[in-house]
Amino acid sequence: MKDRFRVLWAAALSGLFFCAGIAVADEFPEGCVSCHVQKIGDVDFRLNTLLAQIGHRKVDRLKVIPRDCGRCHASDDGEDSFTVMIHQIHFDVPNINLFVQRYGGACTHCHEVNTESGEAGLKNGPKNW
Amino acid sequence: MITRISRNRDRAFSTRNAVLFLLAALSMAWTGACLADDYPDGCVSCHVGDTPKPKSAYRLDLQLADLGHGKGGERTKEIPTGCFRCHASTGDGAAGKLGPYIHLIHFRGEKNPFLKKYGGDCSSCHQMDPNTWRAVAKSGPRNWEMTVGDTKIPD
Ligand code: HEC
Ligand code: HEC
Ligand code: HEC
Ligand code: HEC
Ligand code: HEC
Ligand code: HEC
Repeated sequence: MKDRFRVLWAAALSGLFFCAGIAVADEFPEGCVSCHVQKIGDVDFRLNTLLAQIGHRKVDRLKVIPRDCGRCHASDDGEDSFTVMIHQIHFDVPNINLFVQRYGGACTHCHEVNTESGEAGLKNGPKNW
Repeated sequence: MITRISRNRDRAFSTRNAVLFLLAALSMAWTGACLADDYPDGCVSCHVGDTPKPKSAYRLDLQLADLGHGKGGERTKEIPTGCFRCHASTGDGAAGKLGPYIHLIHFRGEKNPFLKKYGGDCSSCHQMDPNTWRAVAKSGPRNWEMTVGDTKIPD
């Protein structure tokens, strides 16, 4: 019971933080790899593991994520582009999508605005595998 | 005795449940508040005021005039879609692309009222198109009347 109580508090509090959006410290400063980490509960949620499970070729040689995914995945390639793929994975069927439900579905988990040029781009980080 | 204990337990259980329920409801309300779209038409859902004070978003025709922008902005019907006729998204229009100008205006400076008062949310201006999975800028009809000289021009 106590556990559930705590969980709910945590949910309510994190709800608050997601509302505050960009005003709070960035929980995912390096984008993909700040969230796709080795342990979420008992699950290995790293991208190399997830991709292996869906039959993707090895991604061991990459260095910076998601920049190096772009070696094979073009950003503007019609329906199969990286943009479409990654957006759909994280936003499709919102009422059961974990990214929306558990992480509030914020664009800024992956993107940031460069306050010099005004261009919006992706956060990047070294691979965590 | 035994029944009394278990009844007490039941009662304790149901108060706890009530608290849990309340918390669950609260957190759902929060999520709801975040997910509900306060600015369905983007720019023109937020830029509604008639005066620059208090530091908040006022009508875009006035705001652009303050910046010394030409009348092209005021003449535009759909905001910001119509602005792209000069500010092409590709960057090869008559004027620079709109994204970087608009991002700088709303994100630069720690005291920026868009960050402080409005939460600095990308989704105030963008939405995900669930057919193409591309993010687009929301758009809506201008919320001012055109004037030529002193005459208002109806739409
Ligand atoms: C804040 C957390 C978070 C961030 C940041 C994030 N993801 Fe995810 N990602 C998730 C969640 C949660 C899911 C599971 C979505 C669902 O419910 O299907 C997911 C799913 C995926 C999947 C599908 C895995 C599978 O098993 O089908 C891929 C691939 C993926 N993400 C890649 C990326 C890439 C690339 C980035 C950076 C551009 C990124 N993610 C950023 C949380 C995140
Ligand atoms: C060496 C080339 C290469 C690299 C690097 C690469 N991919 Fe892929 N990826 C592919 C190919 C090939 C496919 C299959 C495309 C198809 O089915 O049309 C694919 C498919 C996918 C799919 C769709 C899987 C499905 O079945 O729906 C996802 C998601 C994906 N890649 C994510 C990533 C991410 C994230 C990275 C970076 C960590 C990455 N890829 C790096 C080549 C690559
Ligand atoms: C899970 C990570 C993730 C989330 C969340 C996300 N994006 Fe993206 N977005 C990407 C990736 C990856 C690309 C591909 C960029 C590339 O290939 O250069 C992309 C591309 C884009 C592009 C196209 C950029 C271009 O120049 O073509 C836009 C616009 C965009 N995102 C806006 C948004 C907005 C607005 C949101 C929130 C509603 C959002 N994104 C949420 C990962 C994400
Ligand atoms: C959720 C609210 C909100 C939305 C949506 C919004 N803005 Fe703003 N905008 C603001 C605030 C707040 C300011 C700052 C006002 C100030 O500094 O007094 C501002 C300022 C501006 C300025 C004036 C900048 C200056 O230096 O005087 C322009 C131009 C502008 N916005 C254009 C846009 C356009 C175009 C869009 C749609 C693509 C848009 N805004 C969407 C809140 C918003
Ligand atoms: C007739 C052409 C035209 C139209 C239509 C137009 N603009 Fe502009 N805009 C310009 C020119 C020219 C500049 C000067 C900078 C440049 O060339 O990029 C400019 C500059 C700007 C700037 C930067 C100002 C600064 O000082 O930082 C903003 C913001 C802007 N426009 C917003 C808008 C918005 C919002 C709309 C639609 C309501 C719009 N514009 C429609 C031509 C146009
Ligand atoms: C105040 C309104 C506003 C806000 C807030 C805003 N954008 Fe934009 N954004 C625009 C407009 C307008 C464009 C130009 C769209 C076009 O040209 O099709 C744009 C363009 C973009 C582009 C296309 C590439 C570029 O930079 O021109 C990306 C990517 C993008 N926005 C991502 C984001 C992300 C991520 C956030 C949140 C961190 C965000 N935007 C917040 C108004 C906004």
